[in-house]
Amino acid sequence: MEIYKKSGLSVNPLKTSPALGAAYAIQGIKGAIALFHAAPGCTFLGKVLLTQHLREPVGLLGTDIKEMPTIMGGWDELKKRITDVCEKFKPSLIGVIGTALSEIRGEDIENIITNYELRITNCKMLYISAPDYMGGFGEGYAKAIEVIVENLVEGGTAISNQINILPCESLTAGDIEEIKDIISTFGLKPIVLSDLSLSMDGSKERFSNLPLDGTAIDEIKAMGRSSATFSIGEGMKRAGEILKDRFGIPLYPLSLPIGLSASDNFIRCLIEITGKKTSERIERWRKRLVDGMVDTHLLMAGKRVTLGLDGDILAGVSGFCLDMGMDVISDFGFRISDLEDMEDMAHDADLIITNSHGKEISERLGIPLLRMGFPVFDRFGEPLKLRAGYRGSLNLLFEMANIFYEDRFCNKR
Amino acid sequence: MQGRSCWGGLAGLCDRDRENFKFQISNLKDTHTINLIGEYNIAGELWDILPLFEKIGINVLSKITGDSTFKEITYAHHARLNLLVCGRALINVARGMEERYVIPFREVSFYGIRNTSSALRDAAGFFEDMVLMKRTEEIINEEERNTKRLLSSYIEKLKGKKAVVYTGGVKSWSIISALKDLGIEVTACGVNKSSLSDIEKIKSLIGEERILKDVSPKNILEAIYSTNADILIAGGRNQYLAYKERIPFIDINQERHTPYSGYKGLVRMAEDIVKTIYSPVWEIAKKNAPWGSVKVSGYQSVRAKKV
Repeated sequence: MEIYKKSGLSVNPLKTSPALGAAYAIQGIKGAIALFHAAPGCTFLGKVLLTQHLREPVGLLGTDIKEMPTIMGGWDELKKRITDVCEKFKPSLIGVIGTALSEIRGEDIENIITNYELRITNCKMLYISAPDYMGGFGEGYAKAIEVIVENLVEGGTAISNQINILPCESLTAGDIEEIKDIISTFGLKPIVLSDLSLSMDGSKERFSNLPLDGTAIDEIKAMGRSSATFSIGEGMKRAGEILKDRFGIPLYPLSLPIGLSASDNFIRCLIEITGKKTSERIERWRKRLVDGMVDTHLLMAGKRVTLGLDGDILAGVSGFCLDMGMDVISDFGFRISDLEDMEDMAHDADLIITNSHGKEISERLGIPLLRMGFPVFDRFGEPLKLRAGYRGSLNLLFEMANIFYEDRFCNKR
Repeated sequence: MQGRSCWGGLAGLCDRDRENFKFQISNLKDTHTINLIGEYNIAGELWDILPLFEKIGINVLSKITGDSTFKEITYAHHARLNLLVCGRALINVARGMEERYVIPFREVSFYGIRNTSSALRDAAGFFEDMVLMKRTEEIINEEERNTKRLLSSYIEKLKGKKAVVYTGGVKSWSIISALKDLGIEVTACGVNKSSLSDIEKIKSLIGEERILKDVSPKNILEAIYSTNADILIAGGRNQYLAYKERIPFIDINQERHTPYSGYKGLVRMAEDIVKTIYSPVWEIAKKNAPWGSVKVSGYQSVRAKKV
């Protein structure tokens, strides 16, 4: 992919902090809490963004270090904060996330928490290094999952119908639920890490800082006994490889099931490992997706779309758009990206697909915006949106098609 | 009381408007004025045509009834020529105006380059004004050159493509002519919505043997498969007949959303035909699920036999 960068200055960055990605991963684990070792502002703004996107209380706290500990080391602050958190919330797991501020000083968080854990019972403590210079939201998310898999999973006798699912950060709670449903129709019992469909779906009925549901620690431990691992998204492959190397669990690295061929691939893997036939329901949704693609093809053909999305979802959506005969004029992975550069190239586009930060661009250029990715803070229902699998792809297709329908008479031909 | 004053006000408005009309009409008396009869502004088609008349200096007095007003229809009889666009539906209006107001009419179509140019030529020629005719030729030349330039990339892709057409009225023959402009061969044409004179015109364009009298879905499909047609061009009712059988399709009837008339419209039509014929979804849709067995049923089995 050609990297387009106008200047070294980032004006409207697409990249979101990896520390936030790591905190996002923690939200899918039952009773877990994320702890930023950082200045108050890092935690505060991150928490605002997560809360606005998920529209749920978010388990994210910070050590709130000031200038002296930032320079001299924040051991005492970290220890004190961990003690407080354990006493107050009794979490099942604390993910201590090293942000750029603490990592760049070389704070030895690992050492602090491994020595300290001895005095705390019933709480796992994990160190996740996620400074801004390691990548974006997706990298941070993947890093957190890797650390969890590395440290918590235990082996044991294999359970034949148990299967591990490692969804990437782009899958919403709605997507994860659909994937679980599909897998269950094959008679398999999925363990999803991390399962936002249980914790961040709006089913929490009372206030709690911690996710009341999600992947349980015991389930994570039992992941070593599964008969297969599906990693969904390029970034999740490494966590799957850890399971493969440690416990010999076969790994099926999948791309995001967006669009017909990617969804076919997902179903084919399930058929392969179970030897079972697809259910009537899956066949039916596949037919519906094909029908939707035929019905909308004339409207979609030749439409120019600009994508400002993270790596995995970018690949899925752009592949689907190309299948529909659309023209993907520019795609932006998070490493290279600045939405300002996208704006420069999007002038003759028919549609912009990016997160809520694309709103002003859409308004300035008069081009409709489809919100996707992270963060989406100016729409309701985003975490439950289903855009994966046959059913989800059909949703996405109709969303795009209806935007073009709306736009039809003011078409810039 | 209130009601009466309201009506009174309306009547006064009408009186004032009538004065306005008189003024406008006396102004228009000596200029080149026409009406468009049977032009319904489908998907905004009229707005591609009016600028052409404006450019050559012909005044379109009334449109009956696309994008029209009651007001402009009341002074339609002041025009000197009627252009009849949809012959089947509104021929009585044209004949009635000829009888009552001695306004001659010409049957025209704006589908395709040739039809559009000859419609403009007919209108200009009627007024026997050398300046007007010269200007018209210039504009036709310029528009045709421009359109051909815009069409060239599409025509390359459409060369040798075959279409089955099923539509009614003026469109049945004028669309065939428009498709010829694009280099598309019409292998069959349904005619049960066309008038006798339309059918005569169709015969002269594609020959009698290609006329399709029975337009049942089964027969349309037969015609497509037996002639190996690449596309069905018909009304919205047949859209899903085509889509379900995975046949490219464009909607040509009044319910459609894209304007296809005039020079600009032809370019849009070419674009849409290229889009549907070359869409990657057909290949995808024809393939079975990668784990399923090949199922041949219904009309697809007819096709399997033919191919």
